[in-house]
Amino acid sequence: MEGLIRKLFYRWSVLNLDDGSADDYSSLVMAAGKSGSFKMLEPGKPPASKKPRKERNRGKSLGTTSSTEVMQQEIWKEFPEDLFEAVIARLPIATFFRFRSVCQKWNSLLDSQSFSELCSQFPQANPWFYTITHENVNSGAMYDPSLKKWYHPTITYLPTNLIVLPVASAGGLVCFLDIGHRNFYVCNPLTQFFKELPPRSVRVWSRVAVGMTLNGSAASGGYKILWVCCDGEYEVYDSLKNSWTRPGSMPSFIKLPLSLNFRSQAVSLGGTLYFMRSEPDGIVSYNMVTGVWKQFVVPAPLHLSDPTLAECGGQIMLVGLLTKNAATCVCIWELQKMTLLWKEVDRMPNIWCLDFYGKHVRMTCLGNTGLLMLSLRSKQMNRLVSYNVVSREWLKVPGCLVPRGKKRQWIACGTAFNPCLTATA
Amino acid sequence: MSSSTDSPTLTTETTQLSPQPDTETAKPTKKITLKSSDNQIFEVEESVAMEFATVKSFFEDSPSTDTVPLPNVTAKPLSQVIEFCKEQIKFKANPDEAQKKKYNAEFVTEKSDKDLVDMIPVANYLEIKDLLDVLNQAVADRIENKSVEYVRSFFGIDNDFTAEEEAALRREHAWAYEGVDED
Repeated sequence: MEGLIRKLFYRWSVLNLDDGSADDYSSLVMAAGKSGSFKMLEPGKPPASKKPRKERNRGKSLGTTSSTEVMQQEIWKEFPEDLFEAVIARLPIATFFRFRSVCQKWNSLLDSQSFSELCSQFPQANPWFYTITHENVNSGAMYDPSLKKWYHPTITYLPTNLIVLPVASAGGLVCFLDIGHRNFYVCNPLTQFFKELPPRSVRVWSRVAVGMTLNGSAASGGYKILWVCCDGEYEVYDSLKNSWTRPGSMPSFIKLPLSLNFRSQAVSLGGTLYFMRSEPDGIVSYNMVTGVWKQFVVPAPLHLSDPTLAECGGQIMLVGLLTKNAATCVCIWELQKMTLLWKEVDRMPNIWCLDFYGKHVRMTCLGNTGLLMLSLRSKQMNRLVSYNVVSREWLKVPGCLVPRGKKRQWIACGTAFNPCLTATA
Repeated sequence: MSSSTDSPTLTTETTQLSPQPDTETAKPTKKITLKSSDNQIFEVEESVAMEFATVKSFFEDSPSTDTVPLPNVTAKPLSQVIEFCKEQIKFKANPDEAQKKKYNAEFVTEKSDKDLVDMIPVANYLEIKDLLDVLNQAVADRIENKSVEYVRSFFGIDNDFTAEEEAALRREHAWAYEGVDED
């Protein structure tokens, strides 16, 4: 019985660093121990009080202070220090990074195991987008759909003497490739984690399509990157071995040359990568675990342009522009697994499509799972829209402006990534 | 804690918590007595008390007890915590996520800052996870768009960086300082 009370009190004393309360509870424990009943508690004992970080303002009378601001601050100084972690873990990621400069303790949270565990309880609902704009190809712009904000990070280690573009992502890591298709880089755009991959063993200078998968559920379990080019050559990078390997050659039933749609990023679904191809129109897939290639011939919808593959709940989707006469709209299709045909499932709201009438519109689709960002552009128009493939919700995205800038930047390319504080590998 | 917690409104609060004809089930349910540090007695349904993980484990270890002293908890936050848990039990019986979300949001917006700050250590001590989640989220929402300087003065935290260290940190994550609320 005594032990139980002690337990009850101990929990409090850990939280409440007020040494003065020690006497109060030892006498209580004694009282309970003698009688065996909790009704014998001594009345009139002063209650324990929280210890504020700064000297408590003596004689303060809450509610009568003229400035509510001052009063509020006095109140919050009593917030228990050991609960800060639980609050910080709930903050949006950008806020977390900003608050690293509050004090040393807040700054050190990124390396704290208990904090990482707390953070994993609050997964980010939406992916972020890492983009490159036409106006500024040497630095990226990041969009956070939860706060509807653009950020302009500088990844200090990315080479500045050559243009590198984001081509794939997995588990919070973004894979970059220089425009000469030679060097691969992997980085976490949030934490500046950066790694240059070893050179490829095959010297292929033609354009490549790239896909990235995780071995487990997080980047810490390792990841794999595949590149494939139109003559059927391909290689796989394994982060655990830090090397590229050529698993074999493409089976003969896959028609070569492989007319890959480089504007459509590979969809990653349960360890399998799906690439979009034409001649014949359809999809080629590569299973990163078994090393098996497959080809699906799926006729493209009529009047389609700028198509991109996407994924929703395990279903392969297609996003593209449908242009008929002078009217253009954004359309979403779903792959019918039995018939291998695209079935239209959604369209951008009519009122938004009216703006495209009579214009030659081009579309770039960023991201291919959960949330997509569509960059729609013609001579007189530069529009950003997000589409949630699960809820089928279309939203306007604020224009990407450089800090203190006025001109909306034109998104050239980009990738979605899951913002993750701890992703390194 | 402060003399305001002995205000007469508490007596009303206590009466509300005392035995009443139960509207949901006709059979009499077991009551548990909680005693706050300022000697207020709260009689609550057993199911409500079991929402407090600390009290629950206390009872698992000694089932015969019927009064639990809470020497570190004053009456006012305790009555608010009980109010919250009573509602959560209703949601457990009739799950309605939308209503629950609405209630939880209203629960924190109705309370004064002082009430929130007083309830947080109580929810932590009594291990009421749902309430602690709601309260911590309310604090996070309050500061998410604020500047570093605002947060330091809000919580009374001293800046222990050298000017160089702070400048380096700000440079490293310069993007995260874009678009912050005015203090």
